Amino acid sequence: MNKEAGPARLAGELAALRERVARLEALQAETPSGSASGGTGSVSIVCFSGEWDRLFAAFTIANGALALGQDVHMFFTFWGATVLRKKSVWSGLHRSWLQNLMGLLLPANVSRVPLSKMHFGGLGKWMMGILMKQKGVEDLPSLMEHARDLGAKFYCCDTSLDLFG
Amino acid sequence: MPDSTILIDARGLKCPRPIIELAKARRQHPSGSILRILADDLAFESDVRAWCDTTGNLLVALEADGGAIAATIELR
Repeated sequence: MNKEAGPARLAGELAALRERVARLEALQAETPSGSASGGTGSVSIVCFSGEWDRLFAAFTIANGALALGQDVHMFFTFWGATVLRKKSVWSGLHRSWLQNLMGLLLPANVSRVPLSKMHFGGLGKWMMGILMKQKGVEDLPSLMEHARDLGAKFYCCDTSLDLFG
Repeated sequence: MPDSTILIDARGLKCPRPIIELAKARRQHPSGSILRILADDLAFESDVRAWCDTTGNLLVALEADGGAIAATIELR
């Protein structure tokens, strides 16, 4: 048996294996789910409701997914679109009186949205706010802030905005 | 504990905030950094394990520290 044949064959096999590993590594790098952040997949949430507790659940899920490195897309439509509102003195100028009235009756921003249950004209929400502060639970505006910081994509329904201003 | 260890005090913060803090730290610091996070949220122990598993960071140690749980993580 030729003494050189063994090592030469091994070297050849090693080169072939190296090439294969390099190919697989390149393939893995191209696959989005195997990205460096470790993220797997993405989460899409449609926020239709404009109630505090329902939005709280949506933003908790969003933050959890973002923390795990997933992409998060949140679509706000109908009552849900009202939480993205930001009142300005100029906003009423280009709208009809009916749109302005609608805007007046809706919560002005995210901290004004009601509970879906036990709101009791604001008393329920006030109690909830005190309890949450005592227990160190994050409030809705800061959950939104965290989601934005971690790179959540927010989409707002233009038709809803047209209705609610 | 080396001086370069990044300390996060998440005591008093409720779920999902400790994990949000981890994710933010992950974005700020390079791979190889050592992170030590203190939290007393009941879900933290299982949360931090799941976070490390899913994001591919290494959970070096998980121990009780006073009334809290301290997790030491090597960022990957």
